[in-house]
Amino acid sequence: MKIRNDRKKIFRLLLFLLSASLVTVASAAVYNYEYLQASPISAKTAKIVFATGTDATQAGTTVGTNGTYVKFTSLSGWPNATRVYQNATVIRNVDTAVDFPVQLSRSSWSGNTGDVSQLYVQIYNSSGTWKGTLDVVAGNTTTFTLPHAQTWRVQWTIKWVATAPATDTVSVTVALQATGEGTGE
Amino acid sequence: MKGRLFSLIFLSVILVATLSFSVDGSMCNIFYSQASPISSETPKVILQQGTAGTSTIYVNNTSAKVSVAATGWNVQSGTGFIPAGNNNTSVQITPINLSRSFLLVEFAGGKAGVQPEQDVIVSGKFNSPSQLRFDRVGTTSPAYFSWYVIQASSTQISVQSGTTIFGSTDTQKNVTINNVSNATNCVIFLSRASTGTNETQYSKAFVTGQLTSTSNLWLQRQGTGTTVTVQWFVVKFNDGTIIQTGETAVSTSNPTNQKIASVDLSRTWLYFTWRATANGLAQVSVRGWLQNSTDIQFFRQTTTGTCYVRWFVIQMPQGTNVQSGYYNSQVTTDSIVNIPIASVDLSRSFSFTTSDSSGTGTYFPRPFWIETITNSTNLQLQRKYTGQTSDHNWQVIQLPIGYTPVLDVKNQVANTWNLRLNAYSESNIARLSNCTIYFYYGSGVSRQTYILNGTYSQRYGTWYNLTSAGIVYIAVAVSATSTGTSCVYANLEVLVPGTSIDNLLIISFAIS
Repeated sequence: MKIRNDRKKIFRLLLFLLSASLVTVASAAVYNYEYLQASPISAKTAKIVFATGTDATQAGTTVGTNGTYVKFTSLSGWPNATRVYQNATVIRNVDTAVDFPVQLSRSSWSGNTGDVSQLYVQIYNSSGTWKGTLDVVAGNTTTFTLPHAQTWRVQWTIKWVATAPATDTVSVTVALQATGEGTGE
Repeated sequence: MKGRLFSLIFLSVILVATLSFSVDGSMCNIFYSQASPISSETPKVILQQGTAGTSTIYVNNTSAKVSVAATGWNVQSGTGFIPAGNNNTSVQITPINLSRSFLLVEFAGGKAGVQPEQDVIVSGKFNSPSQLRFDRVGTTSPAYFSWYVIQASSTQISVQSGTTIFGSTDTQKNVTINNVSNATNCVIFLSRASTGTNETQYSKAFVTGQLTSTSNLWLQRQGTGTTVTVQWFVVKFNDGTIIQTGETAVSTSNPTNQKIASVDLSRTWLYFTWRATANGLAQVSVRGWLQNSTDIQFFRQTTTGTCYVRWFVIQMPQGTNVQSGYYNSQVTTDSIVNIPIASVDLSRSFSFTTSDSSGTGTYFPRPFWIETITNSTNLQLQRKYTGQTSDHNWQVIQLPIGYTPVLDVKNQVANTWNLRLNAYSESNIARLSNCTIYFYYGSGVSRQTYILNGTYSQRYGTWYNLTSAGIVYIAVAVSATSTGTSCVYANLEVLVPGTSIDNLLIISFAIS
């Protein structure tokens, strides 16, 4: 009789443990969904845009649609001589009221970079005053504030070392970060 | 149930709080600009060594260092007199370098109708780098004279000078000089003083000089009986000047013609001295000129006696400008003759005039004239006593600015370019009295950088159009007031026409 009672207790204990496990597993698979909705996300006209400068033809300047991208395909220089493209492109703040902080930085840099003595991207305001220089070789950054309704020119200065052969090339991508260029709507 | 509700409320609060922050604080746009490729290319305009100076052209011919010496000239001039009672006087001048300077002297006697040799004939020499000395033997009446000091800024000439005395019985003197290596490059300039006391021995005071070898100067006169002191200069030209010399007897033919090898009259002048066999106003007065590129002519207003003319035809380098002419005096009363000339730079110009004279007597000093360029457009001749007519052959020589073509700039392609020089830095330029760096292109010059009296008057010039496959020369003209080295650093700007695309080639000029 006692043995029979013990077996019943063991069976109940096992059954209890099994039930507890099932409860735990079931709890682990229980979760809640929360939703974030952004509607609408609009396409807007950029407030900072690129445009061709007066040296665009010789520099091989191509400005992307909406002025948000520019490419130069014909920049060059003579060894040990400084080539200056004073007006390969311009940057323009089309906003009529807001000034935007802008930062230039080197995004990528490749090719025969060791043969480049100097490569500067320099910014000049509408009065011809220098406002900042990105030293591509050094990889620094430069910041300035582009006032509303202003167009500033971008000057490229290139100098190859004296021994650079005519086969040398480099490629560079410059990032222009315009801060606060949103509508706040 | 309560837990789920609590979670939903909590998330909503978080979302609303986030939206309430400023949108601008963390919002930006990034634009990209790509340059690919940026190429190195063979230079289309290059620098090469010029014909003068010393240049170092660096790899790929896009920069250069030029070393150049001052090559200009400087002329000082004046008139003066030895006062009555004196036999000499001194004149202070701006200090010169004696090894590259020589002196021209003319005399005119005093305001007296008849004067002896000793009172009239004046010699001149350098007493020191800053002082001239003029001598005569006598002391009666003032003795008027005019002078030019001609100095080369660099090694265009090398000069030896000295004093030689003809004793009363001497008709010639041989003087040993330092070897000049090439006697054909030399001209003998001289002046003299005489002990003559009675107007009858002027002819014995005329002296000629020539080199008989690279180390011997031969001085001659006709006649004896007086002591003549000669101040001589042996001037060797090292700048490409071409000298022709010879001796012509001027006697019964007026004019007397002498053939020479062809010269460029625009930069050639005639210098001569003579010996005279006969005394008298007309007998000792001979004028000469370059009749054309292959003929010299000489003239006296008499056929009595002979003047042995030792002449030097001096064709100087490009950049020299010679004006010449004939002044026909119709009157016996003129004592001042003003001759208009084309404008010259007085700092590098001088004159040399010879005159004939009417009359065969001994009313000296009437045939003798002094000369001076009174302003940039006037040559003045003066004598101190009138009475005879004198015709004059005058020459005004403007020496070169010292153009030194130091670099060639060559266009390697069919494109045209606009060029200019732009000086951006310098050192020790205070010593430069005149430094001009310019483009020389055969038919003209374009001044680019100009330093005057130690400071910039012009740092950059006007644009010059370099045509397809064309060449232009960079030249330097410089005079300095002291020794040392000055440096000018300039960019040769090579501009693509119609754009603002520049190539900057660095050129440094080291000027000694």
